[in-house]
Amino acid sequence: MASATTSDERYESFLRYYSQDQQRLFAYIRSLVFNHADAQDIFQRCCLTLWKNFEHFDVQREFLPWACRIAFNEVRNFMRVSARDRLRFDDELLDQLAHRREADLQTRDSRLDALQSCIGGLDSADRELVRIAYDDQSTVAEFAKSSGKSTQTVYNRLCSVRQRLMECIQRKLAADEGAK
Amino acid sequence: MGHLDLKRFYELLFLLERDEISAREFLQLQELLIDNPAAQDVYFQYIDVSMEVPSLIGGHGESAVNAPKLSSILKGEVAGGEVANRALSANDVALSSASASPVNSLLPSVGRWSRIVLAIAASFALIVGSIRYLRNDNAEISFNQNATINADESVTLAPTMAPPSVIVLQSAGAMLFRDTVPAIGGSLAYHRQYALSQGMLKLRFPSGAEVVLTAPSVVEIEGENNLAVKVGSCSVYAPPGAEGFRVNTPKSEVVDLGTRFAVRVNEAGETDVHVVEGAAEVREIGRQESVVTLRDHQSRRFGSDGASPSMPLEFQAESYLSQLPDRVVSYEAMPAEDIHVSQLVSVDVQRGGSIRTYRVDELIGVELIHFHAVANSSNVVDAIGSDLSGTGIADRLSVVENDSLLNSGVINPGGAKTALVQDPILENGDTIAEATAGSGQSTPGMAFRFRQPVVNGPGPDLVLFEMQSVADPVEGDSFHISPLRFADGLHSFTVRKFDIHMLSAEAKSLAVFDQYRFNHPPRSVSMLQSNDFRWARPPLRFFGLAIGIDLTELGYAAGAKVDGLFLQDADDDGHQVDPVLIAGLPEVKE
Repeated sequence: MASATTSDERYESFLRYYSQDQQRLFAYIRSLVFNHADAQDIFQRCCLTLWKNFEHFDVQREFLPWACRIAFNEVRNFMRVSARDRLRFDDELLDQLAHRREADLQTRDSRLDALQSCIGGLDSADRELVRIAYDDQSTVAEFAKSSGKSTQTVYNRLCSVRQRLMECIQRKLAADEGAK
Repeated sequence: MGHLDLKRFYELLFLLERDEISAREFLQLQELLIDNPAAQDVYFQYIDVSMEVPSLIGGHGESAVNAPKLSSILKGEVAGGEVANRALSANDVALSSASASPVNSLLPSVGRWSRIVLAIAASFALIVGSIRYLRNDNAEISFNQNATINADESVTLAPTMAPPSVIVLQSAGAMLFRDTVPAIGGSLAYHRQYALSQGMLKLRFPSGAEVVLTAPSVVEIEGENNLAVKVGSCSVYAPPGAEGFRVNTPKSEVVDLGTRFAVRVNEAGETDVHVVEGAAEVREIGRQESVVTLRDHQSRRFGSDGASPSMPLEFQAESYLSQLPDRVVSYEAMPAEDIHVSQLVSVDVQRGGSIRTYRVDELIGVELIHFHAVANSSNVVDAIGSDLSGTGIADRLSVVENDSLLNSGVINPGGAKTALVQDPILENGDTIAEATAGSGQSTPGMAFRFRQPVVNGPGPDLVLFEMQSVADPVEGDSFHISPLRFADGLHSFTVRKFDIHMLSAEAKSLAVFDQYRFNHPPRSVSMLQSNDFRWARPPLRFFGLAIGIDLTELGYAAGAKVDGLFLQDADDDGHQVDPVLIAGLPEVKE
């Protein structure tokens, strides 16, 4: 019983860590491997590796840095075996990004809060454009056609909306920082 | 990272995101990222936005709860087993386990593994369910709480259409605590608490009801025809078709019967209701038997402790606000650098309750006739590529007098803590030697003369645009505006908050500019034109703020013609006003 209880506690502990950090972990991988499908594959491998090695995890330490190190190894393994014609960051940049991203994830939630507010600030047309763009790429062309604009024009506008969102986040974070 | 690089950087990220980046462009991107922490931070932010925007806006993107498909991962490892089909219930989420198949050797037992599958799936479900409700986002599509999650399938969520949005019709100096005020035409989310800390908002509900909220107020939109006011004031206009609009307060429920009414809730939850037109029914919570119907020009206070269900209250027609105050509503400007603007095109100003659009060529320009800086010697900003950044400095005043660029102007005039109560001493009262030595008596600040007199009409009579960075006060820089010649009834007026401030969705990002720092703060227009300077390009992004100034605030009578004004920074903090464009508005002719 004692053993079973210990195992149960381990599951619960894993779930707790996993639930808390899964988004950040995926964001970490996503910033090293920009192809979404590849990032998903790596994330899946990483989850299994985390579980397999969870018994070695020192609960006195933080979960995310440990998970990031395992994820980074998965990324390197993936790059070693994946097709050579794939675009990928070189090793030096990959190291830099991995190192910086791990620290950057600590403030990700604040950025997401800011993003949520900034999306609320978009007018309905821009919101719809972004929604269509992310919902299904093919509908961007349909959207462009129905609105009498070229697809490139719509993409340009989408790019512009993205940039505005980015700036809004920076402005909001700066304002929040200033308010502290 | 220079601005051109940044623009290119965003383009490359966009191409990368859309999987349309070429090998050459990818190399460019790598070059921008390597050894550049600032660029890396922007890149991370871009990735986060890509990941999260879809789920926040109602699409089906790659947010982690959608993308990783952990249950599918586990399926590969579980590969079956003796897991019986069964269903668990957790917070309205039904789970069913995987079908039978062999168990992977790494797993301690099928039962435990299925449990972990289910638990993780449940955690997903809880996360999915809670994301929408805890984050209270403004998505147009919500997810069914009864989503079914199979342990051997990816998360399946049934989208349902959300109710129509509550739209922001107008905004006047509005600030939401820890939130962004949506742009005009943007929407507010249901079931989310908004704390309006400053200004006013006018909203339109799907039913057609219009609500003017006044700060300080804390509200929550509870439904398509239902607003909760925790504290604060609102005015409701429910046109035909919107009858039944309900305002819930902590101690009462006000139901419209086709009317205009005002509700004010104090911190004790007491609710004052003033019916201006029509009728409203008020029910006190906990006193179901007491329903009071108020009609035209009737008012009562509800929710006070005591035996009586409500108390009489003097009717105050002014409690009801049908519109927001006169102000600069918005402006249009031409992009000069991607989305960053420079050239003003038009400005919308509410004057006497009517919103009027003025093209830039209809505005009345100004001539700078006095300038006296005190401590800050950065006094000219100019759009990149003009004569000022070259060798031919023909006329530095052109940046304020002749152009309508929002990233170009004469800035940081001197100031005083106390506004003028008598005529300012203009620089022509000093000798050149005094001005040069700084020993003259001229008043710190700047004076300008309109190219034709401005007539005091309803609402704002002139507009002033300021450039402001995120490092500056969000409300804009305070300043005094005074008559050039004081007379009976005339006085100074202090502006402490811009109509379009840093947190306004209408504030536009300005194109980059050059800033000119003089060797000494200029104390005259001629020194402004002739003193040596160094120039620099500010690293921060600036935004265009705007304020409308009503000459009545300075004591001018209706119809009075004003040929010029004096402006001083209010000297209330380390920031000085940066008036990049000042212009009179044409006379209102009904």
